[in-house]
Amino acid sequence: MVMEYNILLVDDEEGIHRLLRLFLERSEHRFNLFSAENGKVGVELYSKLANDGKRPHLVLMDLRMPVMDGVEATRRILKEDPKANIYLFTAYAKTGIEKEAIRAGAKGTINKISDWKKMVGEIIKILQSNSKEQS
Amino acid sequence: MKTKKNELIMTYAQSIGIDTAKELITRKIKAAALEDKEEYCEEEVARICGELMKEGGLIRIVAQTFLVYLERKMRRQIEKAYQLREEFLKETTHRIFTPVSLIGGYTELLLEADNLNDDQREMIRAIRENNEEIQKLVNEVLDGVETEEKDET
Repeated sequence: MVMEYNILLVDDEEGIHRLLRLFLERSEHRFNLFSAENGKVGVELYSKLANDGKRPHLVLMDLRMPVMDGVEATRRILKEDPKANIYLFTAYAKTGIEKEAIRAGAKGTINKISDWKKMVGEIIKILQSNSKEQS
Repeated sequence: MKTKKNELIMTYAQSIGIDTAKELITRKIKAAALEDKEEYCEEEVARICGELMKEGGLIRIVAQTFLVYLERKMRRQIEKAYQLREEFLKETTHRIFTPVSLIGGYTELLLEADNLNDDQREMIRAIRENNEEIQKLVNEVLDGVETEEKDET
């Protein structure tokens, strides 16, 4: 069944947004990809989307960003919406700041350096299991 | 009543005569095979102290204390330099990940195109394989740096 999902990507690298959009467009599902270039913009956009009835089904959160990093943004989004579905979107998941973000409530890590097709598959799996949980 | 170390040194220097202290240091500078100049670097001061240590009594104690202080200061500087190098290494390697990830993604897309000839496909594969090599290297570097960090804490 073709589904429609809202994804919020919080990442300071513009190239990552562009490429993820290309890969999502090739999927059988429909994706509305919302972009934030740092944690602060991400927190604001999340609550705006939630208020507009477009609550993201998934937040992909980069960690090292200017203005506000991913750990703080994860904390703030979860404070507003404890059920927010946040996954770390990182290239290297073994540093202290990843552990800190998981403690802050992120549900897991999606490795953004691995095979992109595999990565999109992973994203879809997370979205599907999450929508089952919600229903 | 407490006496500041500095006062102690000054008093001692005065008791033997400021001129005597000055003369003593000048003598030690010569003994350490150093020039008579306005400023001395840490390594030179350490050499002067080494000569002072050959004296007896308070001079020896003062020289010893000063040497310990110098050693600590140098160790702190080395640690600081090491830390800076580590941070630079980490920052740079983390930044390499984004272009590597993008090259990986775009070559993946390119390889899906159906109008490529065999040569072109082979070249894109070569880009992809080499990109994966870079990724492996960066991972290894970070594994090293992050483990070192863990060992320290």
